[in-house]
Amino acid sequence: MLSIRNVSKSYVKDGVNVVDNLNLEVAPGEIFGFLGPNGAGKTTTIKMTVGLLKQDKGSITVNGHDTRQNPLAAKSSIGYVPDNPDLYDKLRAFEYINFVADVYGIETSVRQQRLLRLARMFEIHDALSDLIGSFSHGMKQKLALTAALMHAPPLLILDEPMVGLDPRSAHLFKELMNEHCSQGKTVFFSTHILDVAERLCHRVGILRRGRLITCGTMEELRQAATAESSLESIFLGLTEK
Amino acid sequence: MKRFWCLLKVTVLNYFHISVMQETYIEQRQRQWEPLLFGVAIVAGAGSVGGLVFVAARSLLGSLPPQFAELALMMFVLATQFMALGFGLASLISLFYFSADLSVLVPLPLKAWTILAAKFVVAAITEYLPPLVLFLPVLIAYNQRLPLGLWGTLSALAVFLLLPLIPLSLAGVATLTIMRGVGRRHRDTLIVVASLLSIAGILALQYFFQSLTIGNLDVGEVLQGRIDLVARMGSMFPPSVWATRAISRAGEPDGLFNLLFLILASSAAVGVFLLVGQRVFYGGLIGGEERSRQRTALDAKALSQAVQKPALTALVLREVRLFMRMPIWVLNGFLAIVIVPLTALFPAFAGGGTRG
Repeated sequence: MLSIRNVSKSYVKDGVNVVDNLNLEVAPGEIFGFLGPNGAGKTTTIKMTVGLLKQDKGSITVNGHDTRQNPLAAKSSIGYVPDNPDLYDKLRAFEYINFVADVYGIETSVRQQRLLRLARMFEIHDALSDLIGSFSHGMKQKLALTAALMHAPPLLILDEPMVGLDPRSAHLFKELMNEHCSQGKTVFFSTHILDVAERLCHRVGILRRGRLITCGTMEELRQAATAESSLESIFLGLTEK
Repeated sequence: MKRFWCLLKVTVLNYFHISVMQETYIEQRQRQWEPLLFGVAIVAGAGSVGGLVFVAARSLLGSLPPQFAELALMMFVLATQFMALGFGLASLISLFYFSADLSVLVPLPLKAWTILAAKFVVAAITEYLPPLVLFLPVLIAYNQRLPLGLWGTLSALAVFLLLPLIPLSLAGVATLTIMRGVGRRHRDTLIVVASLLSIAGILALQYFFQSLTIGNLDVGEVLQGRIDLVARMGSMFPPSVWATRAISRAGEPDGLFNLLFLILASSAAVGVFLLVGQRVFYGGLIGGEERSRQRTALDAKALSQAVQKPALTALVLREVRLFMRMPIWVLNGFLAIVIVPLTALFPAFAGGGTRG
């Protein structure tokens, strides 16, 4: 579903690579957790995948479409929720959702059904007529996720989705990820919350200084460390080297 | 095309705060005096400026022989287009450099031209306000002097609609090219440079007009003395000539050809903007998203400044530092001190040569 091959990125010409020769394959139906300390290159990788940044080397393929060669097809397969959604503050929530649904060409009956289901699930249905500017950070996150799911994307990309969410919203997000995955679709998300990654992800990848230092299931990671290791101890052990 | 209309609708709703106004003034029925006051301010402001332009245009056109009326009309056309260029730059810089929606729009399956065209149309909507105040009164005055007739009126309407498109396209190409080169992260610097250039332009124009009105020459003589200059300006920017002749020679084949040239040139300009935009838009946007990881450690000298200060001193220091690190604040603060005395001195400088 997502294939990142030999991708490198530097923000300064001939400078240090923020993402350094990254190789990653994420399969359909998988929840993949992308971990790493601050500045490891997680958001940069995500931004390259969704088209907000351009990689210096390598290729990124989404659902079989190269993001550079065929960006529109690749973007059509992605639902993206940034870490701090800058939505249109002067629009009403349903106006924004309708716009996104129009862009993806979703039929009226389908969009109404999905909107109601997702809005009820995220408990924002009674705020859909409100201006987005009046929303809290958590509500904006939920609205961004609702918009990202309107076209039932094969690949859902979330950048730090749990930051700023109350426990109930975080729980809803996790349920949603599981539901999305149970439909054979893929979730790729970055997080600092290791507990979430440990319990939710089929596989995790740990990034350090732009390099993927380990990648696998929790079992594989534990085997590589000591049998009783938690993800936190594995993470700390690997990233503090 | 459907995606373009969807995006345009959302951009218009957001840019002009239409949903906010709908909610506040219509649904919640709060602060309903605001639109009323705004309307009065607009009518008063636009009415007084438009009235002044009308009086000036009428006296100018009335004092000139009919063969110079076309030249005077062209001066106003040029002035309107210059104004559209200035306002266009400001609008497009605001729409491309300062809008947060690009991070929402780029991950969506939208072509670059769709985003560019939607923003261009929004900028164009704002561009019709200055011509309404500057150009419409001139047309009314021109019609009083030399009645336009049906074809002239239709032609004038078409010219009015086309007039901002070429300057706006030029402003768009400039904005996107600069965005590519400078990047959105340096937008404060760009605003300072653009503001300084605009101020230099305003001062130069003021110097020009001051030197034009000094002396005992009447307006007609001034115009006759400047025929070459205006003609040269017209030849430097032919669309102003086409726009003028489309109105002044409406109903004649020459007028029709000039209108046709203007339509073609305007369409071509918008096309060039979209083409150039397609090529540089993502580069500029992506350049703006990038952040280097250069970090500077605190050295011993800087650390030595970390000593306890009274709260008031700390607060003042914080304000001063913030002020100095926000170029636009510095600009706002200092320029008034520089410009006002300069403006006051202009008549002395400008008059020196002509009084002889």
